[in-house]
Amino acid sequence: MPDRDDERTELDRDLARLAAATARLDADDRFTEAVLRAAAAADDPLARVARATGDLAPDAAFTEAVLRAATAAPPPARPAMADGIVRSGRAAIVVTALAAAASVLFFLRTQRDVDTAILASVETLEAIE
Amino acid sequence: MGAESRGHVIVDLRLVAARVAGGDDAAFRQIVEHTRAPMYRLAARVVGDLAEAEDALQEAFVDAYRALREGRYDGRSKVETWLYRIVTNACLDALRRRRDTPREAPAEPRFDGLVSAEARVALRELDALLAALPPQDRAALVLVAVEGLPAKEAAAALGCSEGAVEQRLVRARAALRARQTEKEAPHA
Repeated sequence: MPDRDDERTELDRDLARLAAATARLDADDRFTEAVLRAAAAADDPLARVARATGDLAPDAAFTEAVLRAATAAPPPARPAMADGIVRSGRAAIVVTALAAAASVLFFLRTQRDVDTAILASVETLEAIE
Repeated sequence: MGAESRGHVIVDLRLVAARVAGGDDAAFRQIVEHTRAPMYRLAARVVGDLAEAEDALQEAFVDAYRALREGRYDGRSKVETWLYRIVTNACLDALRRRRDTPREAPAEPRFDGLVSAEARVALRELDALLAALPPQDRAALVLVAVEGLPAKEAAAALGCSEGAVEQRLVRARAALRARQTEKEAPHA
């Protein structure tokens, strides 16, 4: 049965062996990069969130739901140019018709005035003769 | 099975988009399956809530489908870039709705079967961190600092100039720093 000194010596020997075996331990460059990334992420909550949400994806049912929603209601018909003309033209047609009627009335009235003036002139000439 | 799932065939989604425009509804499935993961991630990060992200994303995909059918995608940008903008807009709408009508209780997500517990915790943390920011500033910060987009692409997604994105980033970071300082200040 070894005494305590022998045990300590054996323990010391084991520790020394382990120390020697691990003396050349070193991390490669990727470790530095990883530490720097982690440090930056710890400092910047947005970077941490970006990393934590990097794999976000909806499950397969999402595609089906989108396709159902997209194709359920037919796309609204594109407004044709004629639609705009018809819509805006209704008022224009009424205004144009009123203007045309007013023009005809004005023309007839003016024509009558001219005729009256000519007749008056002719009568005056005949009276002089 | 979509070509992209075989792993060695690069799918040109512009061609797929052209098929959708031509009335091929099945082609739209290919677009959704190809882009759903990055778009889900984007929506979840911008909105900070899975249920709202799912609603916003579904709305965005429906908008995209209609736009394709109506010939409103001109094919000049990549489909993914184009979708990025549509999803960002849908998320901004969701954030504005939340601002105008605060939630009583968060809804339950429906399609989160693949989401890890760590991601859920991170999203809650993100939502709490960004809660006080205006929607546009919040989206700019997420696009650049979390999604890792360059300012130019973030600007394209937000529909603004690069300068505007930089301004939003400065404002958002300053607001977060001020909030952090407030939290760390000793209580009087």
